[in-house]
Amino acid sequence: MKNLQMKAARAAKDLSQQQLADICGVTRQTINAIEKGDYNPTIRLCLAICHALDKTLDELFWEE
Amino acid sequence: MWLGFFIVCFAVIILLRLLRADKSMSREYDERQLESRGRAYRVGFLSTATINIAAAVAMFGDVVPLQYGPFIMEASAFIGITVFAVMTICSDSYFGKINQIKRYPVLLLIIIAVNGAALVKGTESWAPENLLTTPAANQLLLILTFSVILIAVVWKMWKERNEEDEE
Repeated sequence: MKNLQMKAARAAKDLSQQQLADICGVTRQTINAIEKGDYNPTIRLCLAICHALDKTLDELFWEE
Repeated sequence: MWLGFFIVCFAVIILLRLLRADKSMSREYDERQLESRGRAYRVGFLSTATINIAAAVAMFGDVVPLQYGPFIMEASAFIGITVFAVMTICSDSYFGKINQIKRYPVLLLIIIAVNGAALVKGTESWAPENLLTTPAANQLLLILTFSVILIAVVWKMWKERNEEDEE
């Protein structure tokens, strides 16, 4: 399932996938895979993304 | 002879430059890449094992002549390597965090060209009595393996460019 919240949060911060990947210490393709819903990140990576985007886990990764 | 010597020197220089560049950047993989590489190792190993088992059964049942055994063994190893390389390239987990994919097509082309040149040069001894010689078979396997890997790399580079445009 696509993670549109994460994509929107990244866009709101005006970050490219590459920039977000550099901040979180992963590859651009990993960020892309998470946003597309092709990969489930570990909690550690989830937290790193939340910190980078100033969001909580619920806001970015909770599935309704 | 001199052409071959210069081609080899050129290839070695490129390889050394790649290795030096690689050393200066840590070859790290992120969590998704590690997971993907683990999967690729398993599939590559299973491919090799399956082919070997199938070949053993076929040779035991006299379906395949025993003399093909060594070739099948080598081919299965090359297939395992190819499966691993293609899976990891397609899942962006071959080149590590610092993705230097653009360097590799040139190196792969050199490898293919050098082996192709060696194969063509030894044309007379390719297939005496219509059976491939072992050296010719090995070189063909190598050329085929690296050709498949090159196709995967080029396809991946094209796909990546489109993904960046869509971002």
